[in-house]
Amino acid sequence: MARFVAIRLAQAIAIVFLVASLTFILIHIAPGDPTRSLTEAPSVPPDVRAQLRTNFGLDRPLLEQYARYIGNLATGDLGYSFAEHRGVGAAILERVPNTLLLTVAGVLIAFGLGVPIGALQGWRAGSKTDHTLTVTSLFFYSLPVFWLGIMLQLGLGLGIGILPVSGAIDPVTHDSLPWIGRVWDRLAHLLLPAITLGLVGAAAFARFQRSATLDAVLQDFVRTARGKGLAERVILFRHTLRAALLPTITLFGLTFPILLSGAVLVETVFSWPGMGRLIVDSIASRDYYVVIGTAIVSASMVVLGNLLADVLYWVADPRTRPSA
Amino acid sequence: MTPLLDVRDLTVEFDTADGHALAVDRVSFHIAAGETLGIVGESGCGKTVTALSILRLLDDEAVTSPSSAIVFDGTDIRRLDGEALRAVRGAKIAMVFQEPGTSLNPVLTIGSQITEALHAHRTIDTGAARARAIALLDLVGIPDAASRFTAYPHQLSGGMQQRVMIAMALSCEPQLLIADEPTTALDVTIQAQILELLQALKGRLGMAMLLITHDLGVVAGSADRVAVMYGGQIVEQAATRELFRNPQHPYTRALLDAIPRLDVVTPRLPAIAGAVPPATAWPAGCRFHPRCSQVLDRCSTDVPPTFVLAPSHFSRCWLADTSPGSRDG
Ligand SMILES: Nc1ncnc2c1ncn2[C@@H]1O[C@H](COP(=O)(O)OP(=O)(O)O)[C@@H](O)[C@H]1O
Ligand SMILES: [Mg+2]
Repeated sequence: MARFVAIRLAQAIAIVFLVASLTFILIHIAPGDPTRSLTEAPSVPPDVRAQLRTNFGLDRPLLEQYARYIGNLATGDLGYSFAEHRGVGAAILERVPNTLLLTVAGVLIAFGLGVPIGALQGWRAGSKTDHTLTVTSLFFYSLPVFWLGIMLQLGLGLGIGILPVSGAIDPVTHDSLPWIGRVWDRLAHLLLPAITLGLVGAAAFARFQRSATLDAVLQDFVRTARGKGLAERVILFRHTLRAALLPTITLFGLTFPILLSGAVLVETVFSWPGMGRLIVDSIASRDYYVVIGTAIVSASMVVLGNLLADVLYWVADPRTRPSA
Repeated sequence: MTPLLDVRDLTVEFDTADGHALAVDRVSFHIAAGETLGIVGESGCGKTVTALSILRLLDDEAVTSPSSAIVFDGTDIRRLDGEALRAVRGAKIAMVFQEPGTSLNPVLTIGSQITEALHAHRTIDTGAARARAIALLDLVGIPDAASRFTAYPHQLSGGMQQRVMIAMALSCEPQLLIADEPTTALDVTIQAQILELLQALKGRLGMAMLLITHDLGVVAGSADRVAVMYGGQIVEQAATRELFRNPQHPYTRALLDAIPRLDVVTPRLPAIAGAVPPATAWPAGCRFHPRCSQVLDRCSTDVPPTFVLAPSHFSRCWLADTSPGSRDG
């Protein structure tokens, strides 16, 4: 196990450097540079502009800039944000918890809703419940995430007016609330974006869990379990669902990047102060190192999500462990 | 004396994409307490469907004819509801399947798969269940049983897995053990060991056994009586000695010829020409007639009835018809 995790971590580091290099190349191929918005204003004299480029090291050969960046990266330094006038690490660190919160909440809703629904469908395949749920999950599955977000915003937020529709906290009252009030404030703000993200994921999980359960029901060992005279409840939970969860764990690793990119859209719709908006803004302003930094963090999250899925799989399926 | 298991007119049909499949057609047999009945036939003859019917383990799409009766120990299993059916499964009738590799749950330890059967039928605490499971593993010849308790199925060989299946089936001391091709998936040397084990355990525990196989050689040493199945029907039934000495149905004779023999050097096994047709397309008349070496004119049109040759020897073949003039047509 330890060896396995060590190998995966080494792979993760390699991936991070690959992503960093690739993003570095791509963002430098794109026209413009971080000083453009500043220096294109007619009032900025050319020598000021040149001075700025020198200060930021943007006048150095690209290869040298790259070498310096990678060198700094190896020491954990993510570079400087031209737009935020501070370290990229600090800028990202401020946003990452929000994105993580949203993504984890989305995953939990997707998993917690999708898996039981899909399992029920598979167990009662062909029933009326199954058909109704199939139509419902296909409906959510086919919705664009931002559209669903806007609809929920309009319906549940503005329409009924029970839930806030933007931001992560109430900027006016949050700090003056007692701790329980602050928790509720966060939760209320989280609810709509997390549901938006979770519903689409839940539909995908349900579709998948349904067919995994259908497969599991037909397994020989389920017949063995029934032949032993076990109760249907035991056959379902102990034998069928355990087997049916294995493929879903793999899916969990695979959907993590999809949910993460979904989070970027949801963050935009709900003005959620996460990494998503930082990504969008930094690309627009050619804030080179923020672009690369957010790419690195996203890649790390995806790698970690997959690692988590592998560990879960390892726990759930003894066949993947080295034999005793 | 009433038999332990009395199967009467068992008929099972499936609706498939290729049409209506008559997998089992009015099959009747009985097994006395402590007796072993062998069911022999090539693949696709309806043996597994027959076996699964007894414990009602067939999928929902299988339709069992309402006139079928499966009377076990005086009660018709077909009429049992959920709880009463569960009390029979595993406790009074237990089953061993063809593929031990897929019939054991890969994510549960073999120990827990044995103890869960015990817990399902008995009030027994965890420690006692564990002790009994280890004793059972020991009984079926698994070396170092106590340490194997926590092993997972994939850590065992096919033969050992089948021993675990047998231990599991025996856990509640059933009166009847159904073994559906228990050795087919195993190596030849292991096959003999498993058969010996079943035979020894049967004698020791006094249970009855339904031994299903496609190889007449397998039942030769184990079964008291043999039912030969072809095309979803029993085509010949007799005491084992009688069947081997005096086979009546050409299909039985063909199966006898196909037994691998050690005393005769044959370049290859004499397989029966042709193949079992799908259950959706049984031939008219006698179902075996297109492959039969002794086919008569009437075989392709007239369905042979079951002829009684001796009090317990039946054959479903026109050759057994001794009525006057029967050989003319
Ligand atoms: N679930 C099913 N659906 C449709 N046909 C089936 C099903 N199970 C078995 N059959 C058909 O019933 C016939 C007998 O099958 P089976 O009892 O498995 O044969 P055997 O065990 O003798 O090899 C075969 O033709 C098979 O295709
Ligand atoms: Mg079979």
